[in-house]
Amino acid sequence: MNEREQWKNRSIFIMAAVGSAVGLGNIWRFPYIAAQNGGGAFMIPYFIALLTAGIPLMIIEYGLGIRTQGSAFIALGRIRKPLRFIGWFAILSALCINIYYCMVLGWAWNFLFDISDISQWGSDLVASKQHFFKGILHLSDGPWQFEKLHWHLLLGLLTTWVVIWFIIKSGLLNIGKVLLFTVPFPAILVLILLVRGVTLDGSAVGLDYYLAPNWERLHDADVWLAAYGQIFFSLSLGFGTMIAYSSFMPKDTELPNSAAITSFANCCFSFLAGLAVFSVLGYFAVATNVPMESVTESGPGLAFIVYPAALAKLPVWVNFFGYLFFVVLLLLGIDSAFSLLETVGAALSDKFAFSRTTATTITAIFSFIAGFPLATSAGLYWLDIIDHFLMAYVITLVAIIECLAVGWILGAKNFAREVNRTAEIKIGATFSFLIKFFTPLILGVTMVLSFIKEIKTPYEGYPISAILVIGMGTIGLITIGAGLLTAVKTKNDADLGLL
Amino acid sequence: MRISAVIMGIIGVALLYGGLTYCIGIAWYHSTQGKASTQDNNIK
Repeated sequence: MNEREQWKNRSIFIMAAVGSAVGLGNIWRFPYIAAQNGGGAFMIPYFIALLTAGIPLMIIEYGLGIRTQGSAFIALGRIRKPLRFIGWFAILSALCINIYYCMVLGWAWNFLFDISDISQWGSDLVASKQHFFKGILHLSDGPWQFEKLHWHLLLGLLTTWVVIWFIIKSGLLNIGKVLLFTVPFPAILVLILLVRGVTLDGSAVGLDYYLAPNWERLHDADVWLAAYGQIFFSLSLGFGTMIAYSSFMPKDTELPNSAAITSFANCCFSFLAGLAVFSVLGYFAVATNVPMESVTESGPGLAFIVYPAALAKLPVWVNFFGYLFFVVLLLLGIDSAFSLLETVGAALSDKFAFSRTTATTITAIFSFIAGFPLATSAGLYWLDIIDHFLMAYVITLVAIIECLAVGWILGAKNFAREVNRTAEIKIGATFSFLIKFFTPLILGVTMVLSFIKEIKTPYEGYPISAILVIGMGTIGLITIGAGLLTAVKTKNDADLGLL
Repeated sequence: MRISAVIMGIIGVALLYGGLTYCIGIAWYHSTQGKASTQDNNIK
């Protein structure tokens, strides 16, 4: 077996985990979810969700990686051999997520080259929408109308893969050096955007929309589920990344406080991003004389349509802030993308004894080719459907099984005893209760509600054929892939005692 | 800007940034007091 690399120190490991957790969702999902679910009042369920689900799940993933010094399939397989399948299920989900995540970064590269004309294509919301859907994506009318492969999108995708392949293949020491730039720098840039935002006329309107509390909403169960969903999805849990990253730390690494620092840092960034986003959107709403509701969007719509249109309305330095924003998106996305590549690469190395370069290269080439449909005119539809099914079902299911495996099979008390040997903050009965009952229950309810909604109305009104083939088909492929990788026996499996 | 929004902004900062500072403080304390279990656990 190859000797396992290690992070230089705990600070670099935490920084890597923060880099993985903080991604595009912190900018384009959290502010929207907060504003839609009670504004400032959302902070209360969000904070409670962080303490009762985010940090405990992070402790579990760190613990699994550190105690087994292996990828998710090893970490779970050591609890019970059949759980190797769930480990591969998580790893292959990371592979799929990265395929479309890199495409989103490919769009950002394209936007970066279009910034010099932002005043024209971003002159208003209609023009900005036209630029994104027609100018960049050449979007067709449905998921089965591929029309053609767009070379500029393919080039953006290739650029992303070359960058993250180069970073990951260079080894953990060099990744550590990259992280010293890609983690703090976006935070500084967001601070600059925030300062610009709050000094604009009308920013108060946006900040009111984001922060003014609607206490009535706290009686609504959906708001609490949204808070738990947001915490869970934004911490990169359930697809083996945190397990892989923590497996590169020595066995006596401190866990609970490291997990808390990672989780808090992620939420701090989200909150800061919300201020930067809504201050500029408030200015835009006032400048264009439209209500806040009509400029508030989530997902790609915020990052690639509304926010650029808002930046185009800035009184001065339009191009500068345009570049700044897309550089932030790229930097945020790149360390999340390379953490996903590392998750898959490390698992292949653990299974087949591949070198880092070989495992990374195989994964990158495969993922790049698998991303071709996303560079066609139907790409956005495919991306949206796959993202929805992976997030709503696959990674939620993995996280539930992780909780139950640690809580009931390994034993929450045994796990806590192991963790507490080096802990700066001790975990105990509360942690046991949370991972055995509370967190799986909340995640289970979120998943069931999502499923019920799905049955009533197909996601986003997509044709059933697309839901079945693209959404369920992806889950089917992941299941088959996980089954095959579990069934294939290698020398490393034997060495690790997994046969 | 509404007072309630300002107050919730301050509460958000206090909870999240206060929590982060507290956790980093604990890690820093353990590393300066030589209580970190190993050299690898030092936060510098």
